[in-house]
Amino acid sequence: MVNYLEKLLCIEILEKITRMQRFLRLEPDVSRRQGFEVVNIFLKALDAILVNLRPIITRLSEKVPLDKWEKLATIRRLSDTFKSIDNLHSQLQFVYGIWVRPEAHVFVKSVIEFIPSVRRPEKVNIILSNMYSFLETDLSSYVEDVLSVTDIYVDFQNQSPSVFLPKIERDNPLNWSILVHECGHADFQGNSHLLDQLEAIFAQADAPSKKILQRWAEEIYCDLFATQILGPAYLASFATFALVVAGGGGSEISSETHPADIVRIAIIHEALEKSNLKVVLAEPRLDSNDISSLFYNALEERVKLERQFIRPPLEQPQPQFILQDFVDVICEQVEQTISLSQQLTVKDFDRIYGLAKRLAKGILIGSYQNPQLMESGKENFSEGRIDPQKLNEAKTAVQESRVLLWEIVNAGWLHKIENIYPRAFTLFFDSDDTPLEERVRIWGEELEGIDRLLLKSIESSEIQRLMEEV
Amino acid sequence: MVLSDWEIIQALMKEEIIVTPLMNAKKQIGSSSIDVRLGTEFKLIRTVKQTHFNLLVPIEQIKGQVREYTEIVHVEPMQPFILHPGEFALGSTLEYIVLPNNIAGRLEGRSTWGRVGLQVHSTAGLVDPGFHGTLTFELHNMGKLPLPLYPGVRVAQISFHRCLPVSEIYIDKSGAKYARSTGTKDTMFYEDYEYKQIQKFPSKK
Repeated sequence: MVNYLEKLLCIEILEKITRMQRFLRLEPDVSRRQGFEVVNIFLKALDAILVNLRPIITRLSEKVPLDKWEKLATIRRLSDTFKSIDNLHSQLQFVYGIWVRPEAHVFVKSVIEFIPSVRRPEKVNIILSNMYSFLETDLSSYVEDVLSVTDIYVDFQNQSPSVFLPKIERDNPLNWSILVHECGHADFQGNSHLLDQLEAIFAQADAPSKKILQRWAEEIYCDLFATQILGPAYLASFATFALVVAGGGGSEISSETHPADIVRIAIIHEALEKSNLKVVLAEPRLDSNDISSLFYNALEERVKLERQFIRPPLEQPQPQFILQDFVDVICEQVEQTISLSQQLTVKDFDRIYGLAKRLAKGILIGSYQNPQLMESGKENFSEGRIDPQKLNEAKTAVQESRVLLWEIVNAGWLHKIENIYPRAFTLFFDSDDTPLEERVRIWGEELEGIDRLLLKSIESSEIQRLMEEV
Repeated sequence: MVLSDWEIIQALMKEEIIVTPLMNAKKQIGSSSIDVRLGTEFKLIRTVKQTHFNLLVPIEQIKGQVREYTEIVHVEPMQPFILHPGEFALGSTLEYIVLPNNIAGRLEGRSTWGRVGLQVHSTAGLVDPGFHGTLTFELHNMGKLPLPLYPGVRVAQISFHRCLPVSEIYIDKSGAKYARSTGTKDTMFYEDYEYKQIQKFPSKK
């Protein structure tokens, strides 16, 4: 497919627009007050943003590859469009909105179960944020900072780990994958063995470098923590986030708190390659035949394109160590925290393809039949009837086993890449004269449908887990 | 002809019928039905904001009235939804159900819950051949004590009735209002053609 990267980026930005439209319509007063001005102003602003995308969609609808200048211009314009969405998102403080979905609590609860009990927080709060960013903080110290007071933390003592979820991602479990990284922060600080090891490695560094390296180590730990729990789905979520958020060479820029996105994605990709954790695509896209390589290549292609025109700023932090010095130590610790053999195995990955097919048919995937058991169960029937003695065996054959969180999210991403993106590409780039606003509405409904399936699947999987425990 | 236990199992094996999640087949598959569980999303009737449904206004306003009529209550797993005596609420099955074009379903309560006054549907228990989606419960506590209803509890059962293949399956019908639902849906009576006809008579407004 020509111009895949640009189309992908455009679709992701259109997704943000439809998600903000959906969030705004959750405003309780909208149904009662037809002319509710605050919401209408936001909706109008989104229409204005959409106008910016119209020429890009028209150009991408042509089957002619973009030349390198057009590519740069397109990517830049898409980045600017996302910045507008980001700015508008920060104004969502004016919309009353609604609380976090209960399924998000189920999601985060399932994630913190992976943390060893000695350092597992009792709960992690989820806060819908006006900023389009995912963060982890201890809420009591955060509030102390905001208010410049000192007597809140005392009462809570690290007991209020909280993750921030952007409002427009409220209903999007595929992007909740980034919350798994944030939960990793709650684990990192309690991992005294790792902290000691890192202290020894960084002993030679000067104080400013040491501070940067410790923060980078924490970020990489959290990336690998999320990778170990979710596999390629984490890379997919993080890479699409990086794709839309980073503009002007941003993916190559490190900060004092975070290594460059492209470096982080490379480390995640390498970890997945080493473990042979692949969700294979039916046909290659961007020269990749699996999910993690697809998104790694997408981000790298974007970085390469921008590198031709933009030089990263010289004032980037330059710590004295190279990342590889401590990545291996972190990898080892993460593997000890979450046993790979118990969670993600290549064998289990086989189920993801069947689950994605089920999603494509619009069916829930919180549980799944075992095909081997089903086949053997058929042997209990002779001449269309069953021996009453074997009725229970036959019932066991049709019983469904619980689908785990990481399977649901990976199947969701696979379905999105194999079915939802292609439908969006057709809708926006091969479409007839349907007005753009109408196409955005159809795209929004499509996304809402898959969100609901995934949300309900996460919840029914959790109910099954709790029922089985009983 | 109602399907017996082994016929239901065969239909599940052939994926003629899909009932998912089927968490505990031994407990759920009865002699001629499958027990279904309560989901997590409820819609509680809210009467404080409206005196009546005004059906002679534009459809967007009717939709607004319907939204106002119910309040969504989403309970987390292992948390109860309390249905007080005399109260009515909508709920839905945890299970997503797919029927072929030659099997109809019939939703019924379970006697266990009927004995304490729980009614799971007031009037609409028939599931058309070709249906896809979760089923809506019209929950009513006819008893004298509040009922704590937990998601995942088996409150109803669905039986299956084989018929000749229908000529138009439910999900392909233009008026299939509740197809592919994954949660509790409000009424969509305003989509019925009768209301469109009634609205054409301005003298009644």
